[in-house]
Amino acid sequence: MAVVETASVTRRVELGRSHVRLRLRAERIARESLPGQFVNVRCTPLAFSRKVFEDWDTFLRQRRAGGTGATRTLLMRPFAVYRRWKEGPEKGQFEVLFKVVGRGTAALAQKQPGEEVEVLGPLGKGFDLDWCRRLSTAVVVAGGVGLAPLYPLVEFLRSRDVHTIVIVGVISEHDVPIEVADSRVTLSFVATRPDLTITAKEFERLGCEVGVVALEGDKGYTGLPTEVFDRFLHWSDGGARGEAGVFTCGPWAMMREVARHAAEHDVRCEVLLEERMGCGVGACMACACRIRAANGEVVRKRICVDGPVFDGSEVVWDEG
Amino acid sequence: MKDEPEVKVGVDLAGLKLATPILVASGTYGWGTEFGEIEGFSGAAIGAMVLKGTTLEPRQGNRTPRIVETAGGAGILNAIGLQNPGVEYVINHYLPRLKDAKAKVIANVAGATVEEYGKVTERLAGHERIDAVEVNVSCPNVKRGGMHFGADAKVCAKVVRRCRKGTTKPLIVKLSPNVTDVRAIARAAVEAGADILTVANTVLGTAIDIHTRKPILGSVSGGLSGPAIKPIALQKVLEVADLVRDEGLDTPIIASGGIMTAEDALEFMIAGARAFAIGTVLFADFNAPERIMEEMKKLLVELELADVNEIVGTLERE
Repeated sequence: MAVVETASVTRRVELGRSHVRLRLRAERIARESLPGQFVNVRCTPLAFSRKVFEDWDTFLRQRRAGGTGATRTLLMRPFAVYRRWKEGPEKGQFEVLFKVVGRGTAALAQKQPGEEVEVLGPLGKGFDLDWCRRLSTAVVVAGGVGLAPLYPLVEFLRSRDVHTIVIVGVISEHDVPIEVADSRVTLSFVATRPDLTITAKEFERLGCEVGVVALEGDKGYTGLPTEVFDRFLHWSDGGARGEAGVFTCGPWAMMREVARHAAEHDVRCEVLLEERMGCGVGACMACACRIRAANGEVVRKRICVDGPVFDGSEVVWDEG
Repeated sequence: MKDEPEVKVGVDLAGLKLATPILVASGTYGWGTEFGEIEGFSGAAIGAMVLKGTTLEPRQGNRTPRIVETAGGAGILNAIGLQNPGVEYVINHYLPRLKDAKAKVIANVAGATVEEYGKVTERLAGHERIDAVEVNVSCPNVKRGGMHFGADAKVCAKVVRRCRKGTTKPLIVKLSPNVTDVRAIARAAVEAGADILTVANTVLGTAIDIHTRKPILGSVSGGLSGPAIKPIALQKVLEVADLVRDEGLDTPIIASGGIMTAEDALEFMIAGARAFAIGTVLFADFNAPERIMEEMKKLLVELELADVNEIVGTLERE
């Protein structure tokens, strides 16, 4: 069940030119969120709301004087749960990883350790973990910050000993949304370009193979993540490796291609869709996507409660 | 905290008795159960919930994006396009879930033809859980039906007359602010049989992405809601309240448009509304019904009023 928590910021890291990862202390969400679920974050405080009823007179006086701060954002903003800790020294904390793209993310990016934000979650239905558990190989394709919701998934897959390959597509080396190391890494599945200079140590620690593919620049492999992905699927065709699964989150066109290639190779693919949202709980119907039902009928589903994870073969991709 | 004197907050809208003057507006409260999925959410302060707009057949609604926030968080533009599974599905799947809801339940009816409005009204009003029907002649987000029916007094009257034939339960007509003279439409609606008027709906608007030079909303235009439209809605309420008074009618008005606080709500009630709907604020603050109720009680004590009805239509003018 979703819960509203007042979360304090415990860590803030800027990554590259435009990404921020923010660590928040929120016990319930850290403990209860499942891979693929998201939270709604209030990026700026509400000017018209107060928390403490006892302090009502002071609050009202302030509000009337316009002294409670302007409301710069109205809607909460949805963010995937990136890292979360259920035990250990970081227990009770989770992270969001985001790119600054607008008013909400810009405000949230300013939050410093010690500050508080209101968070609602966990929301939505995550990945099909019963299926994940049965896999022997998983290919995870992330477009930029689409990587965020895939971390808990990879964590789960690795805890079940699923051989996992992560491909991250970025615009340039300045836009890598994860903390990287300088050392070189060889990726066996990239037959033509075995050297990649960027390695995502955070994912590698989970024991998976990670390749970062940049669209621009001269370091490492340049191109689209789907190109690498395609090679992997060809490469994996011959092997009797047991069931394989594909997971993706990122730009619409990338997810569409990943889903299409997976279908061509008869591999099931789960996609995590994102959309501008209103309420986050299924009431406003703003975040719709088109899904082909079993009977062939196309219906609009709500990404916030019916998703955000859908079967790639059920998504109607022709409407961007 | 010291004991506060009890303030009466119940209202009577043409026989539709509500425990509080707070309604949750159509389209912002889904089918009445979604917000209940949030731990700690309380709908106790809600006098009536207005369900999502319902048509005879299922409608898939508009393409995405369907929502965008406007400058400074002053409002949101939405263009859902009346997505709903059709009246039979609503009756079979959604209304049974509201069996134990304490709030009154108001259906919101839309259609592409006058006849469709009538049929949907009959089906929904015939259900025991439905306490009143709101006729949506003001949705700006559909090509056929909606605002088209609320922009012309004669067309509006036709729709309302047809719906009136379909039920003896209280009939509410939700008016559009996107008209030259809201009084003409209001008068037509009342003459055609409306018991209650909701004033108003969202204000037509749009937003453009300068980089792609495309409209941000999938359907180009949408309806603006939130604090940005409060002065517009307040003006419309005042105009309709004046009309109701001047013509000796007794039609209650439900105010709707940008209400975030009890102060906002009381402005509308002073202008002449007997109840008010909240919508956009729910997305920003789930506790809005409880919060506004509590704020309202305190404000009424401060204003030395024992009953919320005492403030209705008390605007002082020279």
